[in-house]
Amino acid sequence: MKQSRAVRTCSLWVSIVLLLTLFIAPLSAQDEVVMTFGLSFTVDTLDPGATTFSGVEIIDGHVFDTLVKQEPLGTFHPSLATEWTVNEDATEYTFVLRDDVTFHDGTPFNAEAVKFTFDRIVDPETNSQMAFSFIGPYMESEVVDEYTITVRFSSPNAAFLDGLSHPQLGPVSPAAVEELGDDWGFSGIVGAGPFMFESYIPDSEVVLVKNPDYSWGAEEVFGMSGAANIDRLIFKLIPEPSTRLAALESGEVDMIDAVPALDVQRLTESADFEVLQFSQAGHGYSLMFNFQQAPTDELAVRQAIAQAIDIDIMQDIVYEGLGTQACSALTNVMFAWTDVYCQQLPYDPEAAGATLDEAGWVMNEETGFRERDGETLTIAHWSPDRPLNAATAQFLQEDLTAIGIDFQLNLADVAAYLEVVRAGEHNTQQWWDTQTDPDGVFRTLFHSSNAGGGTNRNNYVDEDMDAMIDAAVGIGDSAARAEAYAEIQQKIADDVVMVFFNDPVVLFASTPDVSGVTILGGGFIPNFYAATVGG
Amino acid sequence: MFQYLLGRLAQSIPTVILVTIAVFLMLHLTPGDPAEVFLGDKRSTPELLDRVREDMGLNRPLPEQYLSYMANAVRGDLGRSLQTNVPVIDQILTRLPWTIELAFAAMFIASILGISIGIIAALNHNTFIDTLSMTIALIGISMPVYWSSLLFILFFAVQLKWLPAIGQGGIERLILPAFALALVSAGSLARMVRSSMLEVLNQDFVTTARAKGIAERMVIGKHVLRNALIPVVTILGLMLGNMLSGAVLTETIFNRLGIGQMYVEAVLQKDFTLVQGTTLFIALIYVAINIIVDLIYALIDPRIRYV
Repeated sequence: MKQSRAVRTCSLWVSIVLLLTLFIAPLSAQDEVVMTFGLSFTVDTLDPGATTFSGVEIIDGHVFDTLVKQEPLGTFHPSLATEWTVNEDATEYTFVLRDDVTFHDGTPFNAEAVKFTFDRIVDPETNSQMAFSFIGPYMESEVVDEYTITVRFSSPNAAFLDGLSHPQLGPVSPAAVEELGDDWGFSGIVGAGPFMFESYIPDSEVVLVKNPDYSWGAEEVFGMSGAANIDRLIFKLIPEPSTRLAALESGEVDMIDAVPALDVQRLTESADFEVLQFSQAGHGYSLMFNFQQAPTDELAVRQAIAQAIDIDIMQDIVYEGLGTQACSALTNVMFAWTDVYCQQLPYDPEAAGATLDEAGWVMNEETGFRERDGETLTIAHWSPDRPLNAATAQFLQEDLTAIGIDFQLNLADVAAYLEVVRAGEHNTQQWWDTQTDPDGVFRTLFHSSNAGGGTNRNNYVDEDMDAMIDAAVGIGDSAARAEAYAEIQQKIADDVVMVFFNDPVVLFASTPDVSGVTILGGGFIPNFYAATVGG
Repeated sequence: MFQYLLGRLAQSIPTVILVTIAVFLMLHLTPGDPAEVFLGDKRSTPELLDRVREDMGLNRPLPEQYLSYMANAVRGDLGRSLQTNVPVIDQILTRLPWTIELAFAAMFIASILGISIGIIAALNHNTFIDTLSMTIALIGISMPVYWSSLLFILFFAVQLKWLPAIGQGGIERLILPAFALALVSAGSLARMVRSSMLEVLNQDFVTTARAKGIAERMVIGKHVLRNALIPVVTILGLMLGNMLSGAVLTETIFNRLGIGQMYVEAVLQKDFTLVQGTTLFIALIYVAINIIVDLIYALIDPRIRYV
């Protein structure tokens, strides 16, 4: 009895010691540089041609090199293509390709591989959405010789170089696509980028390793062209904001995206972390006017609303002081941006009141709201019930009530909101969008083809505007194209189609050990090719 | 015994069928056209909508959709995820081990903590120790799991850096989520054990046993505990079910692979087939656990015999 108790005690201690040894993390190999990034997005598939998740672009950008690189927006640099020519109406592009590139599986990179990539994207079997919109009105690719390819479009596509700078259009290894079949994008992806796929655990992580043979980096963008500094690049998929932040603070990841706005100041003041802010590309936070519904069909009403909102104060109150005041449908980092809207429609509540008086909307001192022919000036505002939307709408209500507008808030669940705004029964709604080419922004918001239930919930239908947008996308010369977009922005200000609030920032946070990160895609796409971690 | 098992299985069939109908109708109770909701703010064309409807099998009559879903489900085919096109059953099975690991670890911690605190409280009835134990139990019950999870991360991972905050694999990544998940159960278990013990302690046979001169350790160990733990077993069974499905919050906050985390993602991404399949799977686990609990009764309580 006594002995067995001793044995028991002894084995208990042994197991406690064994358990404790499990706590001591094994020493990792010191010579390997590992970078771990906590990504707010999840992954549907890693197939660049088929993914519908914008976060996959961050991962794929390391595996798939692109024909051209874009930095800053509107400026293009050689990458897999060394030079290119565009015909006058932007329907035909010819690229001269590098002749010293191989895919990770040893397949040679050439014009056939590029043709294969593009043909695959427009094949209905691929079920492509993002890549499909980047490739535009694609017609065909012609292999001129081993390293020269001509791409043709059925209508002008001046936005093609922008599309081409995204990894969604990055050349894929034809041999690997055939070999992997249905597993392509899940058990493997093969491109010609600085990193090679190693493993993917859905909802958990993607691991990439350095491509040791890489020697074709875009020097103008990254300042280097050889193999990457980081040996192993790990993307941890952490959608929960507080968990992602905790992973950074506990040292499990070196860098995260989408830092919660409320934590920005604390992290900035801390010596242990660095916060990186980048202006966001595309379109910021804004207000849409429904042109098909009274009273927002009236220019005077739209103009008065635009001038009655104190957008400067709004930056601190609604947007936590992050980002800057917006002055266009384009954010200020976009190619062809102008601030004509802010110059033409400054904050001026008195002028706003006068505009309404002139239009016959007279203040009823009893109700505090303006009336015309016995009708109250009422705006039906619809929005999905989310914190930022609610804060914006309440701010608007305060400023608009002050000049006698009955601004009615309808914060609804997403399904109910979509039903109302698609049917065009709203007066105003909020918008936010991200794109990298001006054509996408203007087409989404102001082209009649997207009105009547689509994304143009301004229901702004104007033949001149349609013609201007369609013409601008066919201008191959970039100075002339910028001129065309300046005219479009002038017309938006003249017609007061929308009110622009805030050009947001994209926030990253890292430990001070991380350096050399390149941010592409107008602030959204961190690239770790030239980055390093630690000394 | 075997006959009882068969009977019990037969009884659970209607439950399972009701669950499948509810799960199946869920898709059709969402406001609007499921295909439209699925597409959300993406640009929808009539062709795209048709393709989505066909993919989702929405273009057939409802009873037909249900029957074919069931016919496939019986054969273990729960359809394919709308987002990734991977078979739902594969997606569940690859994550199941992680959830089971977490649930059993939490269960283990909850039992040890809950039962020992309960026993200590009961044996020191109406003393300071009793009050202290029950206060601890109350704190355990009152802390929502998402809150305690975040506190654990902030304290043990961010401040002290003793344990990792996220992921799975290895005991060091299991401790924090398992404790967070165990706390609520441990608290209610402690209260349950305490009251059950007190009840048994006041019974005549305990007095008799003591009168016979049996050592107090034997009285408590053999007579009191064995009787007091019978109702606790029911709770333990239900707790395991709750933990398997209740891992939703813990897995999401600790960013652990698992059924719960997958479920949340599936809901957010409107992956209807994945939500359906997972709900059905969790319902089946509940039914199975209830049957097992009934069988365990017989092992602990000799008075219960299944004939």
